[in-house]
Amino acid sequence: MENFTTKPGDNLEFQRQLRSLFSVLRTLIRLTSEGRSSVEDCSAYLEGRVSALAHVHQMMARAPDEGLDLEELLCNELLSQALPEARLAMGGPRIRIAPRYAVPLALAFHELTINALTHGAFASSTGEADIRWSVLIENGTSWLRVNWNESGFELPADSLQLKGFGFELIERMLPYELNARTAVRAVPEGLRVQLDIPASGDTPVWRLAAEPRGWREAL
Amino acid sequence: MAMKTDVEGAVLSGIGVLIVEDEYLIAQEVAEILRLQGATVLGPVAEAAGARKLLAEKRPDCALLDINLRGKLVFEFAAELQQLGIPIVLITGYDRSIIPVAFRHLPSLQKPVNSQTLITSIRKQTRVFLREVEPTSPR
Repeated sequence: MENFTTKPGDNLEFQRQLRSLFSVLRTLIRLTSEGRSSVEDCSAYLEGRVSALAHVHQMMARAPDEGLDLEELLCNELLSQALPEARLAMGGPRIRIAPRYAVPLALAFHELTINALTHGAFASSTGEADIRWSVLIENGTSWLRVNWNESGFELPADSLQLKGFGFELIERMLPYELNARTAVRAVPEGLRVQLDIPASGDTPVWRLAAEPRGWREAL
Repeated sequence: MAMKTDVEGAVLSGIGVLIVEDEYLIAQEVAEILRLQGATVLGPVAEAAGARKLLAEKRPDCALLDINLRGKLVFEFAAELQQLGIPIVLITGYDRSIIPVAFRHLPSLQKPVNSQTLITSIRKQTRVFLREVEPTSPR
């Protein structure tokens, strides 16, 4: 009999990922259905969230040891929604996210993208989104700061629409799993989201990539 | 999904359970199951360090420990709890062989956690406490 696993650790990590995937799915099905009146509405949100999970798991399977490129993680979400690229700017240093921590981040980017499409910058004809990330050092700890800013539209006063699963993800799950500090604010010109993620707790969460730009094209 | 599964109602009423689990959604689900049964939840927390802080404030009647916390095994902390005489229920996502011999006698729950098994394990582990508090309650 041939052994299909290449390394002894692979199978355990795969089991962990699979188990985690199903618990995420179970919870997001429950939270997506809560408070939604129509089946169509519910299934549209669910379909998007499941696709986001599929994208990030494909990335994790492709390069399990190298970690996931932050920009690719963002683009996966933004470009799959066919956003008007002329009104979207993004940039920052090349960052690799450890596979173990990629799922909550990918889901957070998905929720922000959907929010931008349905209530934010891309729900109006004039809105713009600017996504920047940088590395800060504070008391000897490196932090990855992601600023997701939407402007050029008026956010209805009563609707900071990151409710339910999206809200819980950013306000609670990222702080719990990544020790992140997160802030979501509605401002007169739009929406400001800031995610601060420390480089490491017990295991590294992210690192600055050493490889030059363009590694993706080589894959 | 957390559901009320025990017909007897709040069977963990008055029991304090410390939850140490690094996956947020699992931690929330387990906490919800226990709260529905009347338990007081300490945490949940994702790391042993956070759990030690909670322990300094309040002594739980039972601790529910995920054996792998962000890639670190929980057994050092489990030994501290044993020293304090706090009963433990383990949660595992892996093969049981990863559990050191000294901890194999502890009940261990396989993920995804079945709510009835969870409730039963905690009731078993806190049996002494229940007798002290409710000496007249029929079982």
